[in-house]
Amino acid sequence: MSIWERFERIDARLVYLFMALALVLPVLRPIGMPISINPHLTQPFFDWIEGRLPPNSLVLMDAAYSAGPAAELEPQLVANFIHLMRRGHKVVVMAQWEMGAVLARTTLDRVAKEVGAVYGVDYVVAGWRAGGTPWVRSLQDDFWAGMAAVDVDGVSFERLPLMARARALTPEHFAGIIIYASGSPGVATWITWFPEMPLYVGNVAVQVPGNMDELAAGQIRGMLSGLRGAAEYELLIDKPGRAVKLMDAQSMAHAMIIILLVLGNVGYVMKGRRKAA
Amino acid sequence: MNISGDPQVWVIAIGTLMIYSYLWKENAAYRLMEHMLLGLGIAFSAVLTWDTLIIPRVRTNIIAQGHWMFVVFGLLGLLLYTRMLSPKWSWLSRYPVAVSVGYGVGFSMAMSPRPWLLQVRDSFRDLWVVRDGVFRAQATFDEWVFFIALITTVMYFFFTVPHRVTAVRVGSRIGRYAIMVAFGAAFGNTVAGRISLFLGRLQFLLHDWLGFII
Repeated sequence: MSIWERFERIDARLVYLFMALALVLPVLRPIGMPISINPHLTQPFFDWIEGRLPPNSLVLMDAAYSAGPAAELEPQLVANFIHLMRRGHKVVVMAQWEMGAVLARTTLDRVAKEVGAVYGVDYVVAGWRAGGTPWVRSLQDDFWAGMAAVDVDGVSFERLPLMARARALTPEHFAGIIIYASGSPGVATWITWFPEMPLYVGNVAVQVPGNMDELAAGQIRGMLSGLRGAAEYELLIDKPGRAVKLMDAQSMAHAMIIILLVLGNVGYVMKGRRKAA
Repeated sequence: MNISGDPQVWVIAIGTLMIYSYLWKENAAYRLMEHMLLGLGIAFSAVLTWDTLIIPRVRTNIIAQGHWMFVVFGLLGLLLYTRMLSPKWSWLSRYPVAVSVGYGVGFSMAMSPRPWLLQVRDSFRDLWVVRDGVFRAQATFDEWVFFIALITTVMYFFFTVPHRVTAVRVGSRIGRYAIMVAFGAAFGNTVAGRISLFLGRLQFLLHDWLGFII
């Protein structure tokens, strides 16, 4: 068996080892590779919060994710939240995924201290409720009734001043929706039942190609693509954070995968030639 | 290096390593963690539903506001459990299922076509792009690529005319390449996403647990 053919049968554990090295080394010693801003995905998202949102707007965030995709989506959530707070806007968070609300609450409480945001005044995490899409649809009529008038910790909306503005999930009360989407239920809920609301999506990378048609059709106004999108947003708000730090590792891992793909395919071709001979 | 002394961080770190041990081979540590995760997930949902849905609904909607229809539909929902109680009464569970299915179908049919029709409308593109009185070659090229990919992909799934006809055969072959490009983009993004997930764990292990400065 030639060396090229060995590449076709490379042990999966060796691939994991190479991949781990490609990821760990740049995390410990960043290279500082350049990051460009995507003009079709990230830039419209930033421009909306930066300039097009009316002052003191109320924005709904939907934390539709669990612990797994949090690595991609929480840096997006943090960057958007910092930007919204800096511009003087308010945020209400709900979640189509039960764990999303709890994860978002923990994350936002940490970030709120950095930006001076006050719970109940600048942001509220209303939470998740059982009922799927019909439950989300009910928020259109009466946000308080749909949420049973309590936040994720069971605190009454009466004791949270911001919630006086959030009576219904309509354009009269909310200026737009940002969903951090990792699967189903997710984006489809909003484009189907809330077409009149401006929708922006923080997406896991795997879903981005599938949502491009909605972006082209104007059903989605802007989109952050995985950790890369978060890194771009961190640069736009001039607050490089976790996503920017991890981009070198991501790029190195992609380079490693491309090399392994090429080697594996060369091995495949060489084996075919030998068989033919 | 400044290793964390927080027991919670240690539990998370050990749990992460137990799950990743599967990369080497199937083992008892991985299976133990998998079962724990399943149990914790179910318990988490149950507690969250009880605390933030059932209790507030009873206290606010039923007792304070007097919306007694919640009780009626609550009892209807409880009929689902008759399947577990006894075969004699299990037929009662069909009623909440019937209501759910009926509502679900109607709910979906009410609005679902709209998003797709908007996308169909968006597919009617201008194939000769002129903006501000200037011909845009790049945009025109993009629209033609979109148009050809759309038509040929539809052709690939068009079975009324046999694919022996030359125009359909050539068109569907181009469509197959268009589909392959889409699959490639999806796969590339999947890889990027999976690496991001691993990077999240890696950052936790190196920074939060082992205390490396990142």
